[in-house]
Amino acid sequence: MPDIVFLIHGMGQFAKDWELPVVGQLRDFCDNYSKPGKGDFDQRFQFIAINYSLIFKDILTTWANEKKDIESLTAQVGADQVGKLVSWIADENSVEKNFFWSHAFDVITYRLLPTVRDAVQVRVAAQLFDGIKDLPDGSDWSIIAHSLGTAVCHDTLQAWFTQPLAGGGTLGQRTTPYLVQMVANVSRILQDQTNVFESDVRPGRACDFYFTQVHPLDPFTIIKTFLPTQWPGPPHPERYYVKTLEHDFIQQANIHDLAHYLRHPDVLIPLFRGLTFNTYVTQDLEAKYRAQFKLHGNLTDPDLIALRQNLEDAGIQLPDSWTALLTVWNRIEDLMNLAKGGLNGP
Amino acid sequence: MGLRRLLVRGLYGLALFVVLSGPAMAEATCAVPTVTNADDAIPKFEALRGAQCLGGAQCQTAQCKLVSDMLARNQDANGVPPQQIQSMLGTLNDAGMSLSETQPGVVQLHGMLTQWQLGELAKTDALTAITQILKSDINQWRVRNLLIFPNTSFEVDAQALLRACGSPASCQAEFASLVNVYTLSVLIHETLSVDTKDQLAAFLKEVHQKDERWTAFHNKSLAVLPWELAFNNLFYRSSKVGFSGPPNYQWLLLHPSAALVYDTRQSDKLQPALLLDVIGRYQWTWGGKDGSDIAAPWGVALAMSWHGNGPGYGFSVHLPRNWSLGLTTSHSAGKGNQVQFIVSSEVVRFITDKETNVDDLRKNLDGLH
Repeated sequence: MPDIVFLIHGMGQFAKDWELPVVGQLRDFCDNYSKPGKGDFDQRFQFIAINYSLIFKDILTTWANEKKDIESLTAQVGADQVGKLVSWIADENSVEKNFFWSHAFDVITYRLLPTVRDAVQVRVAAQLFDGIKDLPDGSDWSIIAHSLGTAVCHDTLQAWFTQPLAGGGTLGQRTTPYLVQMVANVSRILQDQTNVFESDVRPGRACDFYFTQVHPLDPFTIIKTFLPTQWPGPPHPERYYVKTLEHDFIQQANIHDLAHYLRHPDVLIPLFRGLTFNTYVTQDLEAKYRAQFKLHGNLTDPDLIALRQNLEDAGIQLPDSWTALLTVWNRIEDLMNLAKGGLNGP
Repeated sequence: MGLRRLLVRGLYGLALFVVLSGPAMAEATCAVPTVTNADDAIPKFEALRGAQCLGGAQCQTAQCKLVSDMLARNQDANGVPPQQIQSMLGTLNDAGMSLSETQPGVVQLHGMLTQWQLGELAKTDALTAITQILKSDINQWRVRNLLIFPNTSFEVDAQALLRACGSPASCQAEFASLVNVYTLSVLIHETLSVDTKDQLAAFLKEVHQKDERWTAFHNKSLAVLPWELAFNNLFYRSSKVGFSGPPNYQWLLLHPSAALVYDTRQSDKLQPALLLDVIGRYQWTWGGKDGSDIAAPWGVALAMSWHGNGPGYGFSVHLPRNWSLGLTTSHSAGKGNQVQFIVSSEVVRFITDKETNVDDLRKNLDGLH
């Protein structure tokens, strides 16, 4: 039975099979740079996508339907004030087109509304448990989480670890993930009732290994960056991995993208060694991957300079709170437009 | 002999070979391989783990077969008697204690067995044993990748031990010992897990029920608009431990709904209206097949209404089947105070259906004469 690796997405709407390009990227790496080589990946790992984005979509759809029912009636019966009350709600068409409703809404509601936060955690936990309920002894499960998904992953695992069970004990005393890989980690800036430095989500408690990488230009992660070195109590240096990536690691406009992080050798190589064993990617194969890895992808120098400037500007003078995410939206949207202009990927 | 008969016999023979040679093939796959150095030993150990040889489905040792039989019986309706679980723990404890501490990992195994008092657990009464197991952190016995007894003071990192092995002989001996320790840890965990199976099944049901209840809370109840969601969050508190379920009530706040007003002065007596619950409370019980549907909902609110004139003020009542009723009064200079009786479209539909039914019944009765 292969080990299970769950993928938890970030903000935005995700359709069925959203994970396939990511899994393909990881498979390509293992086919070419792992010691067992081609064909091993699918025997060793089973990737399962977690999807909680429907919760946000359902809420927005419910609002849009309520608005549709009311809006036409308000003019007819002379209730203009009520019309104004519902006018700002997104109708179904604008949900997908507007960056605020399609992405930022997730972050705001997750951060501010505990009912949404708890609903998301329950949805994710149900999917995690469905995935592992038949996992035999000796097989492991791990998690790769991205962006908003890192906060979701943290909060879900905290609840998982402390979940009481009928008859005694907790869920954390039955099964916990082996390795948690946080990509573009925003768990600290979105923390709510549980302080991420004091929570159980750390090696030796709610997981065995915890990996996180920091991109110094990723505007979502530079505010209140989560660094495992700040965990209080006895450190587990051999059980966590933290790495600050190069300032100039810019292969595309959207450097916050999961695929962008998952191209960097300091993300990929520790991840697969952690999921398997140290020589799964040998020193020689590591050297081979690093030799072909291009920090700037296929960007031309003028494009690189322009992008770097935009990214540096996006991170300037941000408030030291989660509201900084609101400030960077517009800047990020500009970057997304750059991405649509062709600067998206090597 | 016809070709078809030959083919059938051939397939039968092949099937028989597969059935009979299955365990033998598994034994061959799971045999402890020859290892010469660390680079060789770690992938081979990992391969045995991946092939479910270390206490898993392919393991063919006597202890593995005993545990495997027990797990198969656990699938039956009657399950496994607690005494048998205790007996198995006793057997595994004895097997572990019989290993020599000169081999890597065995000191830690003995430490775990002593700390858990598995030998004593096997001898105590069944109820005490189950209670103790349910409250225990059995995750300590669950191997994780190449870690044995993870996150305990007895943790064994098989990868680190194998990496440090010197000569081919020592690598081979360490490999074999770690296979034993790893396998015993898996078997003990599998045995303990028989008792916790029902707990996890209950959790699975609970977490899906909570998921469905949250969906109902956010999308199928009454107070679903953004400001209502925000307002309700002011009164909501998450559980301090574990996963939270939704409340079975909501505060209504500035909640508009399409309705109809009964107006005796109009030729068409039902006119479109808008009912606004200014502030109120809506509650329900959890019902349905899985206890995750909103059942028997009701609520009351201070309300306003519009139906083409100035607003009316009064109250509203919300009942099951999306029935809403409102009574408001409005005032205008020319007409003075007026009372409006407001109903949701579901009420009208119900009455209309009833009228149709009564008409149909009357026609049928008339047809009999």
